[in-house]
Amino acid sequence: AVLSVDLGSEWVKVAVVNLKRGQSPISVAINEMSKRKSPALVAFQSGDRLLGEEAAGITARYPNKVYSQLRDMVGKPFKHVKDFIDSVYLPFDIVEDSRGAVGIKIDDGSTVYSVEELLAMILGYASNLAEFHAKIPVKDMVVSVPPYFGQAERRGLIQASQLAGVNVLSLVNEHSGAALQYGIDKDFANGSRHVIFYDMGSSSTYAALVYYSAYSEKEYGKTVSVNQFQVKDVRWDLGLGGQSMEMRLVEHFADEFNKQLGNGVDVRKFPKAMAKLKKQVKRTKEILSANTAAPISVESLHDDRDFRSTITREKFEELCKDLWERSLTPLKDVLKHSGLKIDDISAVELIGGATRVPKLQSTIQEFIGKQQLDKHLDADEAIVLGSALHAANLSDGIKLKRRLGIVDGSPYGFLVELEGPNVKKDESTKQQLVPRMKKLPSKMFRSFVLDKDFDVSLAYESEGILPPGTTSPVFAQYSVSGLADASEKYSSRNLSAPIKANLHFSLSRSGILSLDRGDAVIEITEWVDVPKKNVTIDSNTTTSTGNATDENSQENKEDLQTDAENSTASNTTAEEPAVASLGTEKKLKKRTFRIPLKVVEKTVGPGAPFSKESLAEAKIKLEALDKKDRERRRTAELKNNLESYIYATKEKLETPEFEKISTQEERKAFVEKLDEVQDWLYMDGEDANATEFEKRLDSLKAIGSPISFRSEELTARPVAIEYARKYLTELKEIIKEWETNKTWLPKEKIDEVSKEAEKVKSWLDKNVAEQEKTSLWSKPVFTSTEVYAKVFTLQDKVTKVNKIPKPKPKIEKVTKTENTTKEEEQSKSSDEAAKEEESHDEL
Amino acid sequence: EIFLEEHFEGGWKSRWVLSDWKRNEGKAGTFKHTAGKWPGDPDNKGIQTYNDAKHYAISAKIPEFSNKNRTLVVQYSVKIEQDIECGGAYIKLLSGYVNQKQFGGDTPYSLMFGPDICGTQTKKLHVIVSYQGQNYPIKKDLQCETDKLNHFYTFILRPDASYSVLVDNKEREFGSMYTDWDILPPRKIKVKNAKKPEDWDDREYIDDPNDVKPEGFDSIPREIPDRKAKEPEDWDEEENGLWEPPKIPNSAYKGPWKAKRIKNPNYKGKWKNPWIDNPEFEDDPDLYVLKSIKYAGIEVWQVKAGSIFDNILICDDPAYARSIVDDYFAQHRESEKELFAEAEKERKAREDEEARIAREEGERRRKERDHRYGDRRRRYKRPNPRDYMDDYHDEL
Repeated sequence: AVLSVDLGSEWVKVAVVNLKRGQSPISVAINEMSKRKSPALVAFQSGDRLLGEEAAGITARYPNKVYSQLRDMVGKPFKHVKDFIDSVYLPFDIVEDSRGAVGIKIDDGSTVYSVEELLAMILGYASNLAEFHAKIPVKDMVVSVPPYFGQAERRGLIQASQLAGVNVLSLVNEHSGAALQYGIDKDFANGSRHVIFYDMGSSSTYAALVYYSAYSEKEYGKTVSVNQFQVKDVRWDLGLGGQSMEMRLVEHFADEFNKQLGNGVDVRKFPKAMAKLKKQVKRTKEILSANTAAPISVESLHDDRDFRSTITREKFEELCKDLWERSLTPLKDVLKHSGLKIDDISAVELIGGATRVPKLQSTIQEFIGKQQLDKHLDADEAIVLGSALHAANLSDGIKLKRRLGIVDGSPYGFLVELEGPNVKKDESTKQQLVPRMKKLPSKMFRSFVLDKDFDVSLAYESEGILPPGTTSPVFAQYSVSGLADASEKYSSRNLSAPIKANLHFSLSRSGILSLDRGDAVIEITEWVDVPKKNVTIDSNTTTSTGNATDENSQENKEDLQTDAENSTASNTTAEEPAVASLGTEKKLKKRTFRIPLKVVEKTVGPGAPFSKESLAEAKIKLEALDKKDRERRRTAELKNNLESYIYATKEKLETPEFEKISTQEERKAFVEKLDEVQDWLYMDGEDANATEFEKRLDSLKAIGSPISFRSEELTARPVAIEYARKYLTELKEIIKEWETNKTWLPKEKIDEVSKEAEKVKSWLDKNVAEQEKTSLWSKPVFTSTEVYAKVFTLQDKVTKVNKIPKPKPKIEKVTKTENTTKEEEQSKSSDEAAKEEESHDEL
Repeated sequence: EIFLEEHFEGGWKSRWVLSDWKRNEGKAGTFKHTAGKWPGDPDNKGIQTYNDAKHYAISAKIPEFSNKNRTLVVQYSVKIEQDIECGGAYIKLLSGYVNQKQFGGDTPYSLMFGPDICGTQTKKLHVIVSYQGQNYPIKKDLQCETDKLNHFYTFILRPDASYSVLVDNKEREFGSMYTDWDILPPRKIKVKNAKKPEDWDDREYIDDPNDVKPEGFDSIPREIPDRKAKEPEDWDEEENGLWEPPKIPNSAYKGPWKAKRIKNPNYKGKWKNPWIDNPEFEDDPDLYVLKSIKYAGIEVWQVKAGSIFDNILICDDPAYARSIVDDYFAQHRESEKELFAEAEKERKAREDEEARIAREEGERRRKERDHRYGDRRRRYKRPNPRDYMDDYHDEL
C-alpha cells in the first residue's frame, strides 16, 4: 500500500492506495472524528505533544502553543516568517536558527524545534492515519506541493519526510494531481483539449494550463492509444487566498469591537482574543457562502465582554473589493503567456476551499463567459486522489487499469554560475541551465574551459519570479575541487585542447535541481613509435604493435594507471635502440583522460540541508516524542480497560444469572471493591501510570474471573454433559457393530474400549450427581473442559481400534477354488471399506 | 417537551431536505424509505442508505430550542442491515445558519452522536460536542453494536454537565463533561516537584521508646567454655602451656539488641504530590449549553450501503425516551429476531446449496480419478498372484 498526502497551509488530507478485493483501490483516510481532512497542527502543552484534531482542541486556550501554517514556513528566512505570522496574529515564539531559518520554542521555554521537525510530525500523523485505515504498514508516499514551492521548500519537505521515517516516491505539483484526477476517466483519442485548473486555497492562488492528448503505442504487437497530459504553464498569486478574505473580516470586526470597548484599547494586542475572533470569522465566511447575511458571535472576546454583530454578503464583497479583480490575474497571465484565448479552453476547473465563495465564482464565470463553471472535480479531494494515482504509478507493486501519462515541468527556470580564480565573468560562465517548464525529470550537462578549482552557484532565473520570502536568487552552492591538481599533473604533457570541467546536473521528479558530479577532461597528443613494414624484422614489428594496443586500452585509466604507463614507456624506450636500428616512424596519437572532481555542497541560508549529525539528532528527538505518545496511548487504553471492566462487571452482577452463581455477600463485597477502584480512578487515577492501571485491573479480575467462570460454566456444562452422553450412547452401537461385522477385531481391544467408556460414564454420573448437590456459587465440581477432554480421549481410542485391518487371507492352491475365493474376498473387502467409511463419518 | 420526534411516516419528505453536497462530483447517495428485510414493526419505516460508496447528507429543520436549564435527550435507532465494512451511522444536531441544500461534512455542528464502523477493529461510538466553535470528542473509548439488528442510541446531557450514553436502554457510560472531554482545563492539578514538608513523618512503624535494654544485656557473651570438657591425659603443659577448654555457643545469648517495634503515632501516610486548584481553570456554568438547536441531520459516508435510520427523538424527558425503547423491545424485538433468523437460515441454505454443488463437482472428479485407478488395478491383478496380495493389503 502507498499513501498520498495533500499538505496544505491549514489542512492535511490523506488517501491510501490498497488493492483489496471488493474495495475501491483508492480511498480517503478518515481521522478520529471521522473527518476526511485533519488540521495540519502541532501543539505542545504541559509536556505533551498533540497533533491534528487534538491540537485544534486547545487552540482557543493556548493560541501561542498550537503551530499552524508550517508548510509556508519551511525553507523561509526568519524575517519573512516573522512578518507573516504577525500579519495574521499568530503569537508563536519563533527563534532564528543557525541557518537563518525559523525554529519554534515550545512551552517548556527551552526546547526548539525546526520547521522540518514539526512537518515531520505532521507527515508522521498522516502516515498513521493511512496505516490505521489500511490496517497494514504504509511507508511509501507522494506529497503534493503548490507550484510556487521553491528549491529550499521542496528540499525541506523531503528532509521532513526522512525524519518522519516515510519514503517520498515523489513530490507532485498540486495541479498535476488535480489534472491526473480529472483526466483518468476520460479518453482523448477523439480530440485533445486544453483545461485550466484554478486553485484558490487558504493562502495562495494559481492557474495551471494543461493539454490533454493521446498518442499511439505498440503493445504486444497491437497499436493502442495512450492518453497523456502536459502542463504547459502555471501562474500564481501568493498573497491571495481564503485567508486574505478572512483577514478583511477580522480587521473589520476588530475595529467594530474596539469601538465597543472604547478607552483606546486595541483587541489586536491580545493573542487569545484574536485567535477566538479568527475562528468565528471563518465560520461567518462559510455562512456567507450559503446565505446573504451572517452573524458573528464570540463569547467573552476580551475582558469578559461578548462580541455580537452581523455582516451582509454585500458588505463582505465590498471589504474584499480589490481581491475579485486580482483573482483573475493568474488566469489572464496563463492565457497571455500561452497565446491562447478563453475560447480555446475546454474547461476551467475550480479546486481549493476558497473557490466556494460566490463572488469569486461569479467573477471567474463572467471572465470566461460561460453559463456555468466547470465543477467536475471534488474541490477538496481532487489533489489528494490524483496524487494517489501518481503514487500508484510510481509504486512497484500496484498497477491500476487506466493509464494517463504525466508530463509536468519545473515552475521556475534556473541558472548556473561559476566563480573562482581565472573564471571570466561572461555568458560562458553564467548560463541558463533549466528553462521554465522544463520537463521533470531531466538530466543536464555543461562543459567549461577552466584549469583551477572553482565554485558553482545555482540560482533562480528571474529576479521577478522568486518563491515567497526568498531574498536572493541563489539557492545552492557547491565547491568543485581537484581540477587544479589535475591541471598541474598534466600541464607538462602535450595538451591538444584546453582542460575542461564537465558538470552533471539533475532535475528530479520532485522538481529539485542538484549538481550531482563533475569530472576533468584532459586531451593530449603524443608521438608514438610505429615500426616500418619490413619482412626481415617481422617479429619485432609484432611486439611493437602489442605495446601500442596496450597503450590504447589504458586511455581512460586513473592516475595510478598513468604511472604504470610511464613505466611501460620507459621499457619501450629501453628497447628502442634495437628497434630503431631496424627502422621506425613516428605518428601522432590522441588520448583523453577523465578525472573525477570532488563536489561538496556549501549551501548556506534557510534552505541549507541538515548535516548528518543534525539529522540523526533530530530523529532521536522525534523518536522520543513518538515513544512518549505510545506510552500515553497505552496508559489511556489501560485506564479505559479498567473502567470498562468496572462498568461491565457491575452490570453483570445485577443480572439474574449472576445472582444464581454468587452469594449476596460475595456480590456486595465485590461491588464495594469495584466502587473503591472507581473512586480511585477519579482521584489518583487522573495521573497514575500504565502499570498501576494494569495492576488494579488484575486484582479486580482475581475476584471477578472465578465468578465469571461459574457463569460461563452454568451454560457450557449442560452442553458438554449432553454431548458426552450422546456419544456414549452412540458408542454402544459402534461396539455392537464391531462384534457383528468386524469379527477380526481382538476381543481384548473391544473390552478395553467398553471398560473405558464405562469409566467415563461412571465419572460423569458421579460428578453430575455431586454437582447437583453443590451450590451454584461454589467452585464447580468439574468443568466442561474436563468433560470434553475425557470424551476426546475415548474417541481417540475408538478410532484406533476401528482402524485395525483385517488379516491377510491364505491363498488356496486349487485354481477353481482360488478364483471363487478371490471374488468373494474382493466383494467382502468392498463392503467392509464402505462400512468403515460410514463408521468413520459417524465418528 | 418534545422538539423532534421523527418516525419517517407520511409526509417525511416535506420535513427532510436531501443535500446537493457532492452531487456534482457524482458522489452523493440517496435514501430509500423502507422498514428493511427483517423489520420489527413493518409499519414503521425509516430511511435507508441506498448506494454503495457514497456520501449521504440529509437534514430537517426543527423548532429552535436551547438546552439551557434543561436536560437534553437525543435518541435514534439505526439498523445496520448490510455488511457495512466501513462507514458511519451517526446523526448530527446543528445550530446557526445552515443552507440545507449545502449541508455536508464541513458544516459545523453542535453534537455528533452514533456509530462509526471500519473493518473488524473500529467500532467507535462517537460523542462529539461543540463548545465555542470547536469540536471535542469524548475521551472515553465507547463501542457500538455491530450486528444487523435494530439498536437505539441515547445521549442524555443534564444541566449539571453530567451525561449518560445508553444503548438499547442499557447505560454504556456515565460521567461529567468536566472530566470526560478536554474542553476546560482540569479543575485540580498535582503540583509537580512538590517538596515533602520537613515535619512529614511517613514511617509507619518506629522503635518503642519505652522498650529499654535490660541491665547486663551486653554482658552476656556469645560463647562460653564447655564445662564438660576435660584436660586430655597426654597434655604436656611444659610444651603446650596451660590447657583451656573449647568454647561452645551460649544458650543465654540473645543477639544484638532490638527494640520492640510499635505503630508510629505521628504517621501521616505515604507522601503524595498534593492536588491543588488549577490556576488555569475557569469554570463555565454553561459548559453543557449547546448553541440553539435548529436542525437535525444525517451526514455519513458508507462504502457499503444499507443502514436504516429511524425513531429520531429530541426531547428533555429521559423517561419518555426510555419508554419508547422499552415499547419497541416489548412489542417488536422478538418478531425482528425471528425474521432475522429466518433470513439467516435462507441465506445459509443458499450458501449450503452452493457448497453442495461445488462438493458434488469435486466428488464427480474424484470418481473419475478412481475409475482410472481401478482400471490400472484390474490390469495388474491377472498376471501375478503376489501383486494381487499386495493390492489387497493396500486396500485394507
